[in-house]
Amino acid sequence: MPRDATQTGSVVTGPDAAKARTLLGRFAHGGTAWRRLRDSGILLALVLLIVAGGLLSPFFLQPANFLNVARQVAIVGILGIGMTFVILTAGIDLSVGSIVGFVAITAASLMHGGMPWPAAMVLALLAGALVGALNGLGITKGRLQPFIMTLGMLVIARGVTMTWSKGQPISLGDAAEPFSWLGTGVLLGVPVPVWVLAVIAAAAGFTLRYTAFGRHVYAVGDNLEAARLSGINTGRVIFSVYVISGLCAAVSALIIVSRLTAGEPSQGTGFELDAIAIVVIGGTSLFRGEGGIRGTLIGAAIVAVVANLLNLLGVSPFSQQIVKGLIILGAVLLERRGAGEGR
Amino acid sequence: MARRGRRTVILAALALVLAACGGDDGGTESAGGGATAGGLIGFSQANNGDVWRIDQTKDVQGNCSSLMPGSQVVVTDGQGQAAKQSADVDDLLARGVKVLLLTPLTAEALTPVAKRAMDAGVPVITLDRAVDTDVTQHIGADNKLIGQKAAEYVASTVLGGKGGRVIEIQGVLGASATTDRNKEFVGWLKENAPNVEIVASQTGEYRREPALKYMEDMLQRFGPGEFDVVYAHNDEMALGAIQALKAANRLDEVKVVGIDGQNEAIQAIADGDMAATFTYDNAGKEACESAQKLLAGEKNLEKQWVLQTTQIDATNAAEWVGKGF
Repeated sequence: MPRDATQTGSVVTGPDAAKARTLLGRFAHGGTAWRRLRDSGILLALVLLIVAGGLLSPFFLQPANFLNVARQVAIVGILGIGMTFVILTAGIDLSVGSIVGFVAITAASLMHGGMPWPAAMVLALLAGALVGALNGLGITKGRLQPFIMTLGMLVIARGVTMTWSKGQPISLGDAAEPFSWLGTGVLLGVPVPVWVLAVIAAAAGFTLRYTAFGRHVYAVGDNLEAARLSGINTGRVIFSVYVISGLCAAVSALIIVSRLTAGEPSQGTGFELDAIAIVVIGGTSLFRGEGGIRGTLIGAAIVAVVANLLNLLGVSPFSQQIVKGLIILGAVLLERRGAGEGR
Repeated sequence: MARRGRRTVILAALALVLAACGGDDGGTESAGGGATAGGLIGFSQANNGDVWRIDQTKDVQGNCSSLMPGSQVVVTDGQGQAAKQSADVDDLLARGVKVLLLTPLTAEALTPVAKRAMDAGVPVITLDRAVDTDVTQHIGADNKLIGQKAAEYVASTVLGGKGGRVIEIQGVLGASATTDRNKEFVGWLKENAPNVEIVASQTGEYRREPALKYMEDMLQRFGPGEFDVVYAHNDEMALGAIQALKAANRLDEVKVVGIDGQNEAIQAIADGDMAATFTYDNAGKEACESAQKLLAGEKNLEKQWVLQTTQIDATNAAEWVGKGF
């Protein structure tokens, strides 16, 4: 599989590695062109799905339905953006689902206890970032593999959430009304969560494409040793992406809490699989520093559209699981096969 | 087109084919068409993952199609996640359901969407569990009454008025059923039988496996003779507890009480393994009857339709065998 910048076929190490990953380098080696072609494939798939959806169900293209789908895309998409950063470094974050639950309970109990929602929001975001930071520390300083560290955090965070909430949901109480804008609000005809997704996606895309940090993220994922040798502070990069993942999980959690007017300790169970799925479907490789935000967004849209279509078509709940699983498996299998072919 | 692009298109096509096939599922309903003569009914199930709920879904589908042959029932499964169930209901509303049948996972989280439905003019009938906002009708057996009757049964019949120790295994926390079955049980005992003590209480999430594990732990924590009764909020958990007790050879010293009226539990009572259960109808049939009235244009339904519950114990288990679900 051709790489972003080193398409000459030679192995580039040392200072040249960093240079090869500059914008100029990528253009010169046709990296962006390659990515555009691939992305258009996924985009085409999404368009096909939407067209077919409109044909299969008269309700699919209705505005009310579209708003619902858009909201679902936003919630899982924000999670996916955080996961994109992590997966680009060839890491993984299995704890995002538990972070969602943890932040949901944190936000709900703070607001329930009378704290004004803006302050509670900030603290909740910090809580998510903190858990992400713990993940990052365990992986960088503790030298634990991302899979292991975040798996442990998945269990620990859920346990802390359950203990703190005593397993009971926590209602927002008086904060329900004022805070509802985040989950249910609509601005200029577009649901607020979609605006939030747009802002985060734009910031993330910009970071990955045009900042040094973004290039470092790709470099770390592509070849950790080469990145370290070329002077990149790989520890800081890796730590940062897990904090980003935790933050994104926190934003998702806040949107959900606002929409449900309650924090549930079981919130987010299984979300990590959805997040990973949309990142993989979107074309970001699990094993190399390849891919990006655009793919994740399209992946999120594909997953949300399929889920919505299955509901609208009245597919039995059991079959829906099968379809979802097959799509994810299919995406990963095809990606791995492609990885083999390219070499 | 790039290799990967072509593959993704294949993926999308695969998804569509599967969806189209799945849409013609036998037993559920036909793929989305235009307006249906009898009307579109939506049923949002909280979690189609346990025996009682699978039975409830079947009852809703079966009864609604037989009572209203021209109508169509769309079922969604929240898979035990409040956020998903809330999104499911939004999808049903977008689909244009004329009546919403809802069995909410928890009261709090599903209240906003229930309110949205009512505000949009879609009548909402809640089954089994309630939400915290005004709905067209709530149907269910009286969990408060069941909690009290269970307490009375434990204190008087099982313990013979002499007092004792109880381990409680609760259902999903936050569900109105769980709250009622717990509060009323505890409250009745406090008032009428203070010599009955609840020594441990934990949630088994209405599932057999967590209840089994919890019981195993409790058997370690409490030696023989240190507790007398297990009060489980449903039969699945009661059966899990019985399994653990049997494995530890302590079933003869402990009496187990459940709720629901599951066939396996009734058989256990007849066999002497279990003390009692209380029937708890899933309201599927009744919900369809109400839906039929609403679709026919009737506007005023009783706000609360309380279903009857029967105590099944050693005295009547024999006649109830096989009559549960």
